[in-house]
Formats: sequence, C-alpha cells, structure tokens
Amino acid sequence: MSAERHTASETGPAVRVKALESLLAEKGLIDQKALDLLVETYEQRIGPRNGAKVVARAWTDPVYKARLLRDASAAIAELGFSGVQGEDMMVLENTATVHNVVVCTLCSCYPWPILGLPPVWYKSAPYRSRAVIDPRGVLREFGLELPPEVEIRVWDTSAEVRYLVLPERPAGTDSMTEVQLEALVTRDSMIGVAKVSAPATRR
Amino acid sequence: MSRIPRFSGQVAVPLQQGEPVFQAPWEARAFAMTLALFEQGQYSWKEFQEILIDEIESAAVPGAAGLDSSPAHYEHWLRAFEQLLSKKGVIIEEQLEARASELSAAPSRYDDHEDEHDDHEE
Repeated sequence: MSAERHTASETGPAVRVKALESLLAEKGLIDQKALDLLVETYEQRIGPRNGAKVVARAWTDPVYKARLLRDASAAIAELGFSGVQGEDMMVLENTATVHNVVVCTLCSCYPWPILGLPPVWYKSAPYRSRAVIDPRGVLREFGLELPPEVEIRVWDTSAEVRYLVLPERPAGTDSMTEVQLEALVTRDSMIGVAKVSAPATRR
Repeated sequence: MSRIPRFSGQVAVPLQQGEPVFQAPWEARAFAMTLALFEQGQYSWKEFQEILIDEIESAAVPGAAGLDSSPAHYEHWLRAFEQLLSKKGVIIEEQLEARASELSAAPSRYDDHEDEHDDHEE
C-alpha cells in the first residue's frame, strides 16, 4: 500500500486532477461548462471589490453600518453578496484604539463572497502561525507599524464564522462620494493587515 | 490552538501582491470540482474542511525554516478532495491511480506506436 501511495504522489497534481475530472464526468457528477463557469466566477466576478462596496456603504450610511455590525450576513446580502463561505459573517470595526486582524490558523477559511479567494500569503504557514504569536511583527512586515497603545485583536476564522474587517475611514475624505471611497478600500485593509489611505493630493 | 504550526525562527510571510487567484489551471479545476460536488450535496463543507485541516497539519514540518506552503496549498486541497471522494465511495483511490497512470502513460504510448505493434501490457 505504501508503495502504491508513493506512486500516486509521484503522479503530478495536474494529471491527478485530469484523472478525477474524467472519472467524475463519466459518472455524470460534473459538467465541463459548469466548472468553467465556476472558475470564471471566482477568477473574475467575486473579489475584494464586493467587500469594498460594503465598507464604503458603512462609511457613508450610519444606519447601514449599525445593521452591518449587528447582523453582518444580512447587511452584506442586502448588497447582493452571499454564498459559500459567507453564510455566517461577522464584521470587526477598527478604531483609533483597536485594530483587528483576521487569520485562519488551521487551513484557509476566508469570506469568499466579499473578498474572493484568499491570497497566497494568507494560506502560508508563516502567516497562519505568526499572525497569532506575533501579530505586531507580522503587521510590520506588511508595512503597518501600529503605536504600542493600539490594541491588536487577532480573530481565528473558525469552521463557522467568517470575518470582515471594517477599516477606519481615512481623514480628509469627508467630501468623497461612496463610489470614490469604494476605490480606496483595499483587500488587505479588510483582512486587517493594512489601513486605508486617503488619496495622495495632486498638484 | 495547540494545532497551530510553530516555527522556531522568524519565517517571513511570503508577501505577493496582485497574484492570480489560481497559480495553475489544475488548481482552478480542483477548486471548481470540490465546490461543484459540495453544491450537489455530496458532502458538507465541514467534512471537506476537516480533511483539509488534517492534510495540512500532517504535511507541516515543525521548525522548517523557509517553508512556504503556498505552492502546496492546492496540493493539500487536492489530496483532501481525493480522500473525501474515496471516503464517500464516489471514486476510490485505486480507480484514481489507474486512471492517472493511464493518462500519464498515454503520450509515450502514442510515440511508441509509430512503427511497432508489440503488446506491452503487463
């Protein structure tokens, strides 16, 4: 058995995926077009722009923000975002004194409907391990130096709950519209490894 | 929390920006198949996730400095998917291995067929 397993692991993943695909297709369990559509959806349609819309709405509509913090899944669904890995959402508000960071220590849980699929670093062993042990050090690697008085809260995505960080609205953006604000919000700021910056002033 | 992988040294987080969602086409196919069968109700997401966690954990080498599991993530994913299919009796491991060796043998067999008809079956 161990020799056979060895053989299997020597077969490259691309070949194993092809083998699975042909076997599942023979059983009528998958359809090529449906798979193509799924891939296209996750590559092109579902991504952090969805989360940015949620954040910009929360920044500009206090009533929405209150709903978002109370029942995130429902408030996010209002904007049309729901689905696998977004069933049980919780929004964490960053403030001047509290900074939230999200990690999945055991695998790669991530709120797909609003952020898309996770970046490579999020799934990496160093991030999964060190975000909990040394969050300040990890944030520094992302270029985010937080003052010592800011409390860092690390949230380990469990099997059930998916987190979205609501970053602080940057100063000097009072005159910006919701759509303009949306463009400022980055994926990393919604995971909590970055802040949102005001646009550079142009001369 | 005790299951969190520990690193003896300071292993840098492999920062990359603007990377593609999938690093290779097979990753995308593995992902899509896992999702498609979940949506059919072949298994719960929790079932898949538990196997994925075990797979990642068993592959972790404590203290392996410079370990960047990122290219391997979808390999863990694929192994977990294979195990789940086997557990559910959808595709057993032997079937998969047979089909995979058929597929990987196919190109060279075609080459061999050019000018000889010897039967190489074992």
